[in-house]
Amino acid sequence: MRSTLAYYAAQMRVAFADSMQYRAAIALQLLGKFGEPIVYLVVWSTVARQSGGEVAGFTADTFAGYFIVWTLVRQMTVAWSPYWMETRIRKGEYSPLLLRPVHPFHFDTANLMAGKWVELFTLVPTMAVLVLVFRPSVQLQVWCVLAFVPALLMGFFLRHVWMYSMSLTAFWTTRVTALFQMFFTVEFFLSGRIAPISLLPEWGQQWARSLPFVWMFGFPLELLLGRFSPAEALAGFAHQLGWLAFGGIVFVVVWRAAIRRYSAVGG
Amino acid sequence: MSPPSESTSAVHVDGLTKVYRVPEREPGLRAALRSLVRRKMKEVRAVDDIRFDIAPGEVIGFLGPNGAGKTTTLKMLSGLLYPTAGVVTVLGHVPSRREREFLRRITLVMGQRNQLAWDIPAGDSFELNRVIYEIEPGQFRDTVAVMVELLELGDLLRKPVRNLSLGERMKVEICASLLHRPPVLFLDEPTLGLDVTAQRRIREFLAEYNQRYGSTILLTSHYMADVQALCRRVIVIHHGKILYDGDLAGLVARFSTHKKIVLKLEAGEVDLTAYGEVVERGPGMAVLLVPKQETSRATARLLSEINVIDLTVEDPPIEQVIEEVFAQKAGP
Repeated sequence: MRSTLAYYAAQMRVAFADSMQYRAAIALQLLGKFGEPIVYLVVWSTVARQSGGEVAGFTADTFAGYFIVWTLVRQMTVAWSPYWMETRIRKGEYSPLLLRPVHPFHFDTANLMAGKWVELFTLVPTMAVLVLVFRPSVQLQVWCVLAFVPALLMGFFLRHVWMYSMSLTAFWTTRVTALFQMFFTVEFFLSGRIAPISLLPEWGQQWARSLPFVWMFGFPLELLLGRFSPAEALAGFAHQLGWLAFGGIVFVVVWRAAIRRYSAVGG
Repeated sequence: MSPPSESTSAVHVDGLTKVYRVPEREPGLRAALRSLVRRKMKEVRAVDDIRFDIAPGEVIGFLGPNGAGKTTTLKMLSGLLYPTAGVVTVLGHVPSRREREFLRRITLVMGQRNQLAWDIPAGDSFELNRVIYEIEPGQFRDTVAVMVELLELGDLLRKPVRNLSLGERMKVEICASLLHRPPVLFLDEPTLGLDVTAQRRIREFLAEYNQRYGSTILLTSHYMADVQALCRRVIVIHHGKILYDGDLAGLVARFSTHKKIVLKLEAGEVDLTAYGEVVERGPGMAVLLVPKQETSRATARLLSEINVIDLTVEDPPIEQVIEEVFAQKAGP
């Protein structure tokens, strides 16, 4: 355990230093990503105003709070990409990682986590600008802020483990894009990304709560905004843990098969 | 030189086989459509029932043309590939299990494959390897100091990797692969694409590393100079089968079909074509290639029939012998 933590610290230092070489590019990419939440924010604020000032408990100001926190949660839960795995396998870049006495999953996780620290340099000031422009109505409670940190971390790991497991299918077919398009489509509607889950019809909300996507994204987001009671928050953590454990099992099974496959056909 | 037994071997290989199943189809649209319904697979025996043992501290040259099965064998020895059949142990470990302890005790250097972060100085990646392989800080400092001296790395470790030349990067790459002082090294074309000076530097380094740490090295290279400088024993593989396993001198004796006769001559033109194939001619000198069994007769004739100042009989260059071995495609 100690050696794994030491590895994470060292790998993150290297990845952080490496990412800093591209800080201008990262800043530009991030700025590009702000278009999406601003569109949602403007649309839903307009809908709220035209519906007598409120939709499903959200006013124009609380929508502003939702979509500003959205930018933070979205960026912090960006996880392992199938496109990277495809490239890695096609170019035979997996072998050097398999020769290290450390699981490649740790390598990728540490790199992703280091990247998030670099992104925070641009993310936080940009969020501050959005706050000044859209004047959100958010009453932050201490316990919600404290609970948000582990919920966000779990959200990241949950998304990372599931996406990593799916990207391993690239060992069988080097075109995993179709599978991911399906994942992203369902996630788009049922995670809280296009709108808060409470805006969905009742059956849609039930579907969302019984799938992993909302626990990756909407749960930490709404937790910070103080939209859950402590009991609901605990239930949310239980869901996150359950899906993480399930995802972990799927990952181990798929990894073993994938590595056997890789070893059979060559790297 | 008696071969090491299984119990004393650093590397033990017995009946090792790797068969790949690869899709096969004719060119053209019709064949493409047909392959959608019924995919035709072909079996390729990349490595076919090979066996050898390597004693601790030995440096072995693993030779063969492209596609002979060298890299597949190295990948099986380092745990990247599961064998289809046969037994492999490296330092008592079964490589395909990829145990941490095993991975800590080997290294595989494959051509230009990069394990260093591209945009930061190599020294930072070295520090990461220190943590990965749990190297004591004292030993780490000593090893880096030794490597910097042997590989003449100078201040290369402080430059971003992307700013290094190919030769510099390869030296740094090899250094990074050896920081944990692995007792077994698998080197796949470590000098590929490098200039003569960089090749020589890496050869000298490997010889010194082997002497200093008693490491076992299995090396593939297309450059015979690498093999001649480092390896007393060579294993020649072709079409997945071992053609020869023994010392380098024995390889020449066994497979060379010709001898080289180097002549120093008195001034004047002499026609030498009747004695053998003239491969080089200069003022007062000539080099002839003659079939091995005719060497004595040709030498006697040359000495008696023309004015020779000096005559030496040599084996042809090892590259030529190797080419002949591959051309013969025969079993041992």
